[in-house]
Amino acid sequence: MAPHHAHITVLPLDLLIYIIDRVPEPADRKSIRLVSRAFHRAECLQRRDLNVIRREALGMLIRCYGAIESLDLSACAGLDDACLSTALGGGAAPGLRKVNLSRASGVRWSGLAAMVRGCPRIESVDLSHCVGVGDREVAVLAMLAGLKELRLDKCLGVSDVGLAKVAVGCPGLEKLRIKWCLEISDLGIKLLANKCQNLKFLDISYLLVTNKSLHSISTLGRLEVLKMVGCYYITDDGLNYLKNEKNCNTLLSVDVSRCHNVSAFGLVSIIEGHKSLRKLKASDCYVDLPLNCLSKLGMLTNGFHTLKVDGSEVSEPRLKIIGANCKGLTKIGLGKCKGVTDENISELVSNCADLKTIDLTCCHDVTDDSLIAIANSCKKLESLLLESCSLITDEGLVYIGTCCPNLQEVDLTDCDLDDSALESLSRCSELMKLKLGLCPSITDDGLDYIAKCEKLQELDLYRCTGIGDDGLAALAYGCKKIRKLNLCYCTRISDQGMKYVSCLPELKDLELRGLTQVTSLGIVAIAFGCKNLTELDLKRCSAVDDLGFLGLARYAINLRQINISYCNISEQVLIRLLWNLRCLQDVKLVHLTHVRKEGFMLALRSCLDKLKKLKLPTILKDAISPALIQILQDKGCRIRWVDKPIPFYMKDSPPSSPDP
Amino acid sequence: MASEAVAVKIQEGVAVDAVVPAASETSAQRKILLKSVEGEEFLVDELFARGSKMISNMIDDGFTEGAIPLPNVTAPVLSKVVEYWKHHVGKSETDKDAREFDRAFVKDASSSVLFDIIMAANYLDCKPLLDLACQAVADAIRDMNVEQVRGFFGITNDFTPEEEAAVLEENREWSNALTVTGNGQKESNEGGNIVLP
Repeated sequence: MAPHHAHITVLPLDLLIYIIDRVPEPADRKSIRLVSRAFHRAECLQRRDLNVIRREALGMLIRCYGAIESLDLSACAGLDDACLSTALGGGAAPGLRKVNLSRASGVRWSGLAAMVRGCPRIESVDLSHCVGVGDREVAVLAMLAGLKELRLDKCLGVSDVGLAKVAVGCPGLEKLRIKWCLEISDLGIKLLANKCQNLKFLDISYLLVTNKSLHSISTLGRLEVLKMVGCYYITDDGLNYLKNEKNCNTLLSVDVSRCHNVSAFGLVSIIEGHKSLRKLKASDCYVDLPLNCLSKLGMLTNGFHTLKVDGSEVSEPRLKIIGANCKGLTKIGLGKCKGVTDENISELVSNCADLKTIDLTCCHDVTDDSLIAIANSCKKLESLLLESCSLITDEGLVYIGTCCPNLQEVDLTDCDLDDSALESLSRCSELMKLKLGLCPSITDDGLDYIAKCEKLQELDLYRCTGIGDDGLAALAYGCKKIRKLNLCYCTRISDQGMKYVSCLPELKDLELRGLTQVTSLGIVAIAFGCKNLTELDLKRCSAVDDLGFLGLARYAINLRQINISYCNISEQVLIRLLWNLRCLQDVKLVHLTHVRKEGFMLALRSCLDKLKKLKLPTILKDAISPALIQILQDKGCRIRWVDKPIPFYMKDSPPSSPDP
Repeated sequence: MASEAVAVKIQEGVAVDAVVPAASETSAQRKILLKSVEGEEFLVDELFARGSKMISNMIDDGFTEGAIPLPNVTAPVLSKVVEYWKHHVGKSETDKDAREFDRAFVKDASSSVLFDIIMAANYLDCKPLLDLACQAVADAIRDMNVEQVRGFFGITNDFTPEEEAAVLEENREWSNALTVTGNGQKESNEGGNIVLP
């Protein structure tokens, strides 16, 4: 090597960042940060996205990663104004562009004001489901002159006043979602349309607006996506406004599902006005689709790819007309439609060979002939939803398995299939999501077949009472990528099965309701083996005792959501469990008969800062001090009270100590 | 047209361009002269030389007479880069031979070789080669601990004890204060943060 070449301390910072960008997270990154000052700096500068769960660390992390552009605080429990102000108010992250505060119910206007002060270049804010957010908070956001995207779904306090402030302050707004903001009226929409001419995406679902709003919206010359789900007061006259010469042909996606006062003629207005439409969703609103309206679909260009008409009447020859007029269709939704038969499915698919998603949920008359027709025509099929199509048998699925190699998602809930159906499906090597709920004839042999689908990520075996431990062994061996597994009420499963499940390294969401043979041994195995577990449902697992819960407290530290209703956990262990699991945010504690009322109070006090969602039985409502409930709610926790009777077998519990 | 009378020093392990297959279909097959920092000259087809955006720009700007000097690139590294161009320029992205070449190219390459290639690819603005070399380094260090990474890069620890303690503290907070979005997640749990009351 040439002698002048000095060793690598001269690798410049940007190249170091380029390298570190390629080192996967997070365990490897920790060593890198300790290597030298240059590496530490490079790692800090490399990071652009941050997703924080513990608010105690927020300030430190923001200071460390000053170059971030996107910040996700939706999972940060107990986030309040003080925390947000300290972290962002001082300008520690000046390049921040995108903030997600969805469900951060403890945040109010002073925290948002500090954020706006410190990060004036923010372009995208998500405050959805912060039900306490109102006009004052929105007025603060209106100071972000460069705001382009704003999501205020379920911000119940927002009214026309707040909307007006945003419209005036952020004229560059491109994407706005105000679903469920019931205080907003036609007036607010009118002002919005007046001031924000750059709007491309607008979601006004469930608002109580009338046709006047559509008149205002029709002046938006760049609008591409319009969602009006459940807008009761919208009628065909309103949709007629969308058909005007001024801004013809801009809309790409329209959703008028559940608008009960809209008929097919309203749809025709949209079609005639916007021939480049790509997606049309009109589920649960039409009783009848007249033929002349359906044939208007032929006016749309070949880019039209998604049609959802769930709940409609589609008897002969409607599907044939749809097929003939929409040859480029890739996604069709016919869930709960009346009149779906094998003949008209065949007619539809023979015309639409590009179909990738076919939704036939609850189309009870569908038989294997439909599946054969689909298999023959739709070779690109990726998603097939056949819930409750109980006439389907494995013979039809053989065709699907053979002819549709790209199949990724199949829903066969309640189809009462057996193992031979699974043999057919096992040929689909790309299968990622499989739902087999309520199929009690499936046995372990069936799971042996499924184990061949190596890419499987989600498997739903709800109440498939025929499966047992051996089936789980096959899954653990073959389907290493499983992230979500539902084994509720598969009562033959025991601790041995749990040991197999613990061998799934990527498991995040596990539902084990009603598994009465599983004991603490099984639960400890899961806690120890599934290191990425974030959601666990153990409702009615009556054989699990304190040892199992202690195991969870010790090992399952990534748990965010847990349901231990109807379980036999003692008071001390409950307190320990809630205290130890630092990431815990969502807890369901219905009918823990061994825990006294005082025990609940202690347990809840220990996790005041963490919780976002809590489910408790109503009998505790008067037992827990109102002050405690108030504190929980102020910290952003949502409490749900459930009125369920205590099951007879749990009634012999130790009496609670006398009330103080 | 580059003059054929230019002397070409033969370097060990470097393929002389006389062995270069005439892969291009263009009739005007020009050759460009590249000069490494030591003064050695490499005669390369223009097609391959355009694998470097910097050289490509220079050619377009009219710099065709004489040799293009590359004062930041040594001869051994330049020969490797030329090798890379020969296997990649003009081929499709999913070409199997190209992939095989890449694998062999970075396999068992020492850290100094990789760094030289990274610096050269950065200077010459050849993004695919830069990606390849950076990915090779990232793959090498991903499972290393701190000392090993230092050895790989040949650097010493320049943290003061206080700074190092601060970073260790940050790491502790960091691991379960952050989640990682996206695929390819590895375990985020080290089991070191359990607090029992």
